[in-house]
Amino acid sequence: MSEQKNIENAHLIKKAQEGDKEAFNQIFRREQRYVFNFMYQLTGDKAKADDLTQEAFIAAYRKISSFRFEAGFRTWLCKIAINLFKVEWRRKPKHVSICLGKIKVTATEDQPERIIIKREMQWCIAHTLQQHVPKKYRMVLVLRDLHHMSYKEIADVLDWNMGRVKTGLHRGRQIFRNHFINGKCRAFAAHDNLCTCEGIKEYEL
Amino acid sequence: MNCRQIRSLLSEYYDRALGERLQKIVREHLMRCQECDAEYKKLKKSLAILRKLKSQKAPRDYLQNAFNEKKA
Repeated sequence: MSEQKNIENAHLIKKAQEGDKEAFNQIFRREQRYVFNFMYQLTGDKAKADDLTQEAFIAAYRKISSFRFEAGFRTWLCKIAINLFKVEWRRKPKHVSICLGKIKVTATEDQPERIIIKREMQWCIAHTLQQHVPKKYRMVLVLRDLHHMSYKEIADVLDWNMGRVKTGLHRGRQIFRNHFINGKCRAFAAHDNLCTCEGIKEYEL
Repeated sequence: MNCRQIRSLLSEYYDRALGERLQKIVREHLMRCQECDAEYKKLKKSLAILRKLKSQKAPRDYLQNAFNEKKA
């Protein structure tokens, strides 16, 4: 972000802290999509992400006067959102059942008719992330690889030290990669852009 | 450094977060070790896939509710 933009943002935040709704609107309007996506990437559930995003903005509005300009305001907002996600996670049942759409594949000469689960690449990426990467690694992976935060910003958002950020990221990336590229999913017969719950079978860059 | 140590650094190497000396050690190791290089390529490929995850539109305006909630 440019120096000029930082100054403008700081000015708007100060006005929001004094109760100026328009300033709050200006500074946070563009963050709505960001926070919603952040929550959706972590939960994999649009309704849940919607609720958490709303809660995050209510909390941000309530707590705006406590913002101290020590971190970026996006980092501050992410911290609020991730704390809500952690609370929500504790309430969530450990085993998640997913509704998968099954389709029948017509028999061919060399393959009998079989039921497979058709999903697109986007679904498979989200599914691998949300269902196969444990929460503590998913948080760091999402912050770094989808939201492009620095190690320092991630440490601030998660209240982790830098060493934990680095090892968490290393492990999270390994798990994602192992499932996506090395996983048992590859044992399934290859089919264009088809995947099963176990992971993806075909990928293209 | 052996292969196990190098592999533990690949994530930071990808982020160019190792510092000049270690970045160079890893880079040179990858040039002469096919197995570690293959590991690094898999990491890069999987992250390129992950980064393809599309962003979604926020389904509604959250700010108005935040104002109303505080009033209530």
